[in-house]
Amino acid sequence: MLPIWNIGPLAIQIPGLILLAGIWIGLSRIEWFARHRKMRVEVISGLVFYTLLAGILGARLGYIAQNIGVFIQRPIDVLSLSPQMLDTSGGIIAMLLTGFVYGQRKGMALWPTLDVLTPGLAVLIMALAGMNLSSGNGFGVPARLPWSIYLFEDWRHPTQIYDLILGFAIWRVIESKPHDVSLPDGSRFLTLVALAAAAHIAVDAFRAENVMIGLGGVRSTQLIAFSILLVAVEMIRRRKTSQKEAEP
Amino acid sequence: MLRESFETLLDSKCTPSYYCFMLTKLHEIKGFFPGLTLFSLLIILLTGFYSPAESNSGSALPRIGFSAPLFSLPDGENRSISLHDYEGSVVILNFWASWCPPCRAEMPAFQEVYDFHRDDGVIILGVNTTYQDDAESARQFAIERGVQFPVLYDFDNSVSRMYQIQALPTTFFIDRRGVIRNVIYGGPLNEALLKVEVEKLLKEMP
Repeated sequence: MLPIWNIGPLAIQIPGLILLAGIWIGLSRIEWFARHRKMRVEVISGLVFYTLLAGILGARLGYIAQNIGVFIQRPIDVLSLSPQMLDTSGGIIAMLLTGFVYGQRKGMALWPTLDVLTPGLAVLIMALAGMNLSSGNGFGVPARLPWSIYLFEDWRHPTQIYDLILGFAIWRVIESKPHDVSLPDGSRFLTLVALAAAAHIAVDAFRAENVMIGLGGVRSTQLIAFSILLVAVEMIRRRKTSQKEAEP
Repeated sequence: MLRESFETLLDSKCTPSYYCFMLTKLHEIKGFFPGLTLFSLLIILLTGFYSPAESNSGSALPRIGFSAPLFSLPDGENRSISLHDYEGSVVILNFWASWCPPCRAEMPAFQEVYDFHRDDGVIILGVNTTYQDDAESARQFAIERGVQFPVLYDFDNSVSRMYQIQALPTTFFIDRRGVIRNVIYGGPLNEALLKVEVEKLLKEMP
């Protein structure tokens, strides 16, 4: 665990650095994939750039909207560089809206675009696992196993490493055979969603932190991931069925 | 169906072997996705049955969700101030040094928040990392900036070590139950952010 790396007077926040690296590598994988799929790389790059920008702005606006009373007293703080002043849901809504508007304007088809973005999302999943490994977040329950790690005064399941291994495996599956168009459009994206949800359910079984407990011990995060998995599997089935029906 | 799936996975076309785990191969395996769904459901049920999640707030660690480690330190007049004295209050614990520019920059914001919320049960403890600072410089700085909240002096690094301080400033937000609810590494923090964090904790029932 290394949340901060001190180089002389500089204190570098490693999770932030991993996130930046994840975005950069993810973007390069998206561009690589777009080239293989013969899609317009500059349009895809523009989509990623504008949605990320909108995400940051939306997250800040969401934060301000939720705490408007405080910002009326201190309007100058709206422009503060604090990365803590961001609201996740506001960011996601802004990203989706911007992606939708940009896609409409550029005439992008939804499913093929999502497929091209999928390798980047798979890299981001790995980056999130790396961030957790660095910060210690999402740590495991105490367990004395040969591969346990000593964290927060106990031997624990290395859940962040489980996440990283599964993330790597998912990425390899997702990036395989970029030229292959035998599967219906959207299959790559939906497979990522299904596999990532299943991986989350599996690793959450060993996680001590970020776990909400209800329904006699069942974790709420697992139930949310299971709902996502069900939707993804059903959509995969529907898209396969409609492809078969469309075949002559 | 299971046998058929394994046969598909292990058939002779799987060369090189990693091809077996390719995307198209997964979709060729009959029942892979329904199987994945059932397997996930099984894991959820088993997790619920064994329920190994632990409650963090019982043990003291400098992390979100854990109880804040208790300590006592001298203030500027050599009186011993203990974190335990502020049980039931919302506590902001700020580690700082007089030579650290972001620490200096954020001090007025802490003072503003202290003035604004001190009657609501908010306390700010400014822990000077004196082992790597000069006590007199720190004292002088606090006077110059009109700091009115308690400034404590960590001469022997004991509390900074206890809180695993790796960068300055580092700020902990502790709720009325003594549980750490947020940690912010680096700064300078602004008044709006501090107020949002404090007001979130003040809204909670004691």
